[in-house]
Amino acid sequence: MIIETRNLTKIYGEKIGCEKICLSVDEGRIFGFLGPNGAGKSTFVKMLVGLIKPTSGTATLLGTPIGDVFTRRRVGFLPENFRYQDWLTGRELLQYHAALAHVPKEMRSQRIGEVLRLVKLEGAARSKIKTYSKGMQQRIGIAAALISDPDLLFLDEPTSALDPIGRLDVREIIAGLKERKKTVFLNSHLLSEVEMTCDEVAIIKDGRIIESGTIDDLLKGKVEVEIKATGLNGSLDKQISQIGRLISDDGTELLVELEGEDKIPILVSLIIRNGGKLYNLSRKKRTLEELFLGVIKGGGS
Amino acid sequence: MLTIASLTFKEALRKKILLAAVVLTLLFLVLYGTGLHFMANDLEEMREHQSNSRGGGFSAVETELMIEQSKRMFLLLGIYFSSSIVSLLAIFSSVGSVSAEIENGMLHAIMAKPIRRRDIILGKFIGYALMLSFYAAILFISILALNHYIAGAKVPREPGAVALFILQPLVLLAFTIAGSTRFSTLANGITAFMLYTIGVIGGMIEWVGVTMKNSVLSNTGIVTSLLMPVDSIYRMIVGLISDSSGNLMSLMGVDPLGPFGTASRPSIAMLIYTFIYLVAFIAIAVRSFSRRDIA
Ligand SMILES: Nc1ncnc2c1ncn2[C@@H]1O[C@H](COP(=O)(O)OP(=O)(O)O)[C@@H](O)[C@H]1O
Ligand SMILES: [Mg+2]
Repeated sequence: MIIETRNLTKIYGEKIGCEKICLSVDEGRIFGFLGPNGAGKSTFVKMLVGLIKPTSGTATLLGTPIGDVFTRRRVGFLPENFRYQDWLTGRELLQYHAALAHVPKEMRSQRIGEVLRLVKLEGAARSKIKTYSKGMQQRIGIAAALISDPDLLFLDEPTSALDPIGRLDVREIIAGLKERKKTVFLNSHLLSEVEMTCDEVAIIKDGRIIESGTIDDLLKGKVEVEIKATGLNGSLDKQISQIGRLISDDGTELLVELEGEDKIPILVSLIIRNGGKLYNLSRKKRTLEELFLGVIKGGGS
Repeated sequence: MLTIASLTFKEALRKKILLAAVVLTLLFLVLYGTGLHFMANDLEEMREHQSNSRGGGFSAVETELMIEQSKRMFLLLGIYFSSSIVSLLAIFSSVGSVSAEIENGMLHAIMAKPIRRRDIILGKFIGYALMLSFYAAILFISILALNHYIAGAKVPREPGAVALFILQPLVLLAFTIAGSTRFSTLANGITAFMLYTIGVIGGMIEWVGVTMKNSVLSNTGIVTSLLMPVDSIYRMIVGLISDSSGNLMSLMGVDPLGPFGTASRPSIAMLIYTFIYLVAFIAIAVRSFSRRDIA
């Protein structure tokens, strides 16, 4: 496991930052930590990279307990609210970060060139950071996080200041890291971003994880089907309740929630056996958005 | 640690406070030089006057003594004011060295790098200390040079005095950085400035106490110089300079230089105490920074 936490908890005075978080992230995974603002995402990541100390619980990064300075050579971090020494040029900032990250001297300029290309800032490398737009500052931040070619990268809301094209670029950077078997931990309140980039998600609310798993797993499970049929008789309702739940019924159009995909053929045969004429059956794709909103509103299931 | 130090040094050179200090210092040096010039002229006239009017007013010895004394007074005044300048520069350049960088998010990315918190503090201290040492050395040498070339004063060639002069801002720096790891920039600035002021006033109270032979007052002064030893470093500098220039007045047991001139013997005990103070505050800074959350 690249990241493993056990009951990791942070309490700020009386306020809960995050509570009893148990997570594990495997090598090469792109992990999305999804939750509304104030859910505790930044708190969790700050504990892992050593900015704040957990109130209780334990965690390991790359097999060593958090707080180990040596391990941080293999970890990159893009903070959420950051400012860089804006009187430096982009290249100078990266030189500084390369030195801090112990990138060997003879490799620095090559590595700086690589990350500048990756974040598409080659043209601005000689300009002072204070002349950068918000989006460019975010990019130089990503470059600084990647300077040591880390095996594990934490990104805290990396696209908050970026336009749609910038977001696409970040997705491409992440995809590139995935190809090279790097692990990425992405904090985001944007569902679409997590859905498009991540293999796994945990949804956090009020400091607690309420759902987690691969996106496929989360979307698997319950399915909704829409049925258009005539000639249905009343006994169908009762039979449906054995394989799922009738959500709505206006005589010819039914909305049914089934316990799983495998119940769809059973539903069809039930309709036929009851003398119904099936005109249409469509499976409604359950999106992560519905899941997310359901979880956030319901406060857990 | 050296990476942090060099960045801090460069950063310190860019601060507006340094620019303000440079302007203020130049202004001060010009005024001071002008003052020295006119004083030197006056003293010269006084000497001529004395040698022309034999028998009247002061004796030749008395005149020489007064001239000598005036020059010393001016030298000490220069050292006194430049001590204040470097002390205030030390406080106000480093007052937000940790707190402001946490508040604006500058430290966040750095903290996740493979660097110990101790090294961040030591690096910052070294960076600021370099800037302040250069500044203090140049200022001190300027004051001595002005006295030498304009007033023709005998200036002591005393490396110990330069070293002590540099020590003043370093003590304040250690104190201010330590405060910055715990308090907001504003609160820290107020605290450090207050303590510095208390140290200075304490030094004057001690002088009054010694002069009036009032032990309560002089003990108060001793306590404040333990709280903030910067003023007693200044007094050691005065002591060193007086020793080496073989001051006639002090041989006669008179100390008419007022609160600026209370020369104390450079006491080894006080020097050791000051070093312990300096190191202790660096240690406090490291400890307090290592424990706090960077949130
Ligand atoms: N330094 C702090 N002191 C007190 N409370 C904090 C601090 N930082 C965060 N919190 C609280 O902890 C909770 C989680 O915050 P955060 O981790 O920033 O959430 P997110 O990153 O998901 O938006 C919030 O309720 C927030 O108010
Ligand atoms: Mg956050």
